[in-house]
Amino acid sequence: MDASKKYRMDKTAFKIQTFEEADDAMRNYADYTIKERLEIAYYLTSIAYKFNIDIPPRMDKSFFQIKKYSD
Amino acid sequence: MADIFQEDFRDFLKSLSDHKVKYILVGGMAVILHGHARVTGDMHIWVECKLENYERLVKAFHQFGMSIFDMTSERFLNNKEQDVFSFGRNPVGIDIMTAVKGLDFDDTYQLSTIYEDDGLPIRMIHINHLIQAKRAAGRLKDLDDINQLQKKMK
Repeated sequence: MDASKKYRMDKTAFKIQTFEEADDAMRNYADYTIKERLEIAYYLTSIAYKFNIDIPPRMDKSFFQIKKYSD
Repeated sequence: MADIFQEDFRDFLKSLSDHKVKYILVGGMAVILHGHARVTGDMHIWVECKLENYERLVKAFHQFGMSIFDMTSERFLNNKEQDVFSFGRNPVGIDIMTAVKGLDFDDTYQLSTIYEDDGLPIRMIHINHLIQAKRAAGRLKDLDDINQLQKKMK
């Protein structure tokens, strides 16, 4: 299903909070276990790099470069 | 997902462990382990910059099934201008680092901790040192990481 149609707004939900609290609600992962956080991060990475999480890419072992840490 | 870590990352960490390479997991993966779930396409491994550790690292690469390319002992030990050896491409890239701005390896190693993932020991940087390194690097994404990691410390 098209991702833009998969999730719909919860129109019953409402609260008043500061900007910082709203930001925390989106990104505070303190209550998650390490395993859960890694799974979330892996899912986010699959979206960012456009790969199917069930068919993970393998490492390209032919590529190498040297660079400076700050690059 | 059967394993927490991507398969190649896990294989590489196992190779490091099997050959007793002195290393510390830093960078984005360490940020995730310490509390902030975000996108990362590579794994940063900071290794002790000594000859005997280089030799162990070479054996680990051999077990992992990957060439060390131009990561010669001379470059590894003496090239201060370029201190990151990048293997593979994102989203499955491994960066071997011989230095981390703002940190000393021995001090950082001493405070580092072991996280165990299904029997695989993974040595990761202490959150205070991670924040210190991020502050020294000072890129926008580092500042965001600091902000998120500090929330966990409150």
